[in-house]
Amino acid sequence: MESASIAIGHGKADEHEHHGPPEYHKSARIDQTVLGILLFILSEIMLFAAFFAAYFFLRVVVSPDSWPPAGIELPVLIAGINTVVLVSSSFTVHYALEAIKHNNHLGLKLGLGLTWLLGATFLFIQINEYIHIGFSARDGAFGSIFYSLTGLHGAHVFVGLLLLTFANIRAWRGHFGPEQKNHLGVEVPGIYWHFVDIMWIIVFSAVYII
Amino acid sequence: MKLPSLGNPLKSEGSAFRWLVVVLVAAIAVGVVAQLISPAAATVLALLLIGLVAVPVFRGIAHMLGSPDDD
Repeated sequence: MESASIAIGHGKADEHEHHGPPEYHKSARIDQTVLGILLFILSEIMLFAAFFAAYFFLRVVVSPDSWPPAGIELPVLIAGINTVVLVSSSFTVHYALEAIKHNNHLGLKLGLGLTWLLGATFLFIQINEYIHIGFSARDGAFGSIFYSLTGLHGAHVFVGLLLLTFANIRAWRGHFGPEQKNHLGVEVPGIYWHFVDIMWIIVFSAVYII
Repeated sequence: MKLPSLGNPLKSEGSAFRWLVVVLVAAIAVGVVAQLISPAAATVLALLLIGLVAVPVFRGIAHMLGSPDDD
């Protein structure tokens, strides 16, 4: 986590340690860890884009007149409430980071704890939705792409929860402080969490609203 | 086309959070259009918004990465 989190620093420490051309495996324009997190997020965007391409191909080209198929009704209200839950968690993780920047350790713990709980609630509601939705991934192209797209996102939420679990444990052990280098373990999971939330907003808009 | 107040979403958690709010507002606009006009119109609006955001983001990343000749 710490190595990835240096991404934010743009390698300022190196500026004082090394002069002249960069080493053969480094760039003069971008820090290698910045490049790493950039490539990671871009690869994630491409992964989701592939699933969205499949979704819209099935919807627009294969089944333009029956989407969703007859007899299937998506629980828009529950998914909407779930969206509010997940988006709220972005606000709480932002609050947690702002709190530790002001040396407010209680706010950090509260924010991270709430974020974890909201993320877990989102996953719980989504699994409950899967149980009661009335169709499975085997029920035609719609079922397959619905579970693929929402399941892909759910997997990302699960990974985010793991990162937040570590951040919560470290917060309770007092590992974080107001200086930037001392709260990178919150900042990087925060960036990832916002990415996951942005992706859900797009998934929700495409699958449930449009 | 510049979005100076948003910046690189990977620069910090605060930047990513601002992008989240922008996407949220855009999604609400798309949802309203889908309900009031039609899903097709909402799709067109969504593609337009993605294009508007993608161009400055792409340019910003390209500028950040630079050319291999710069090394």
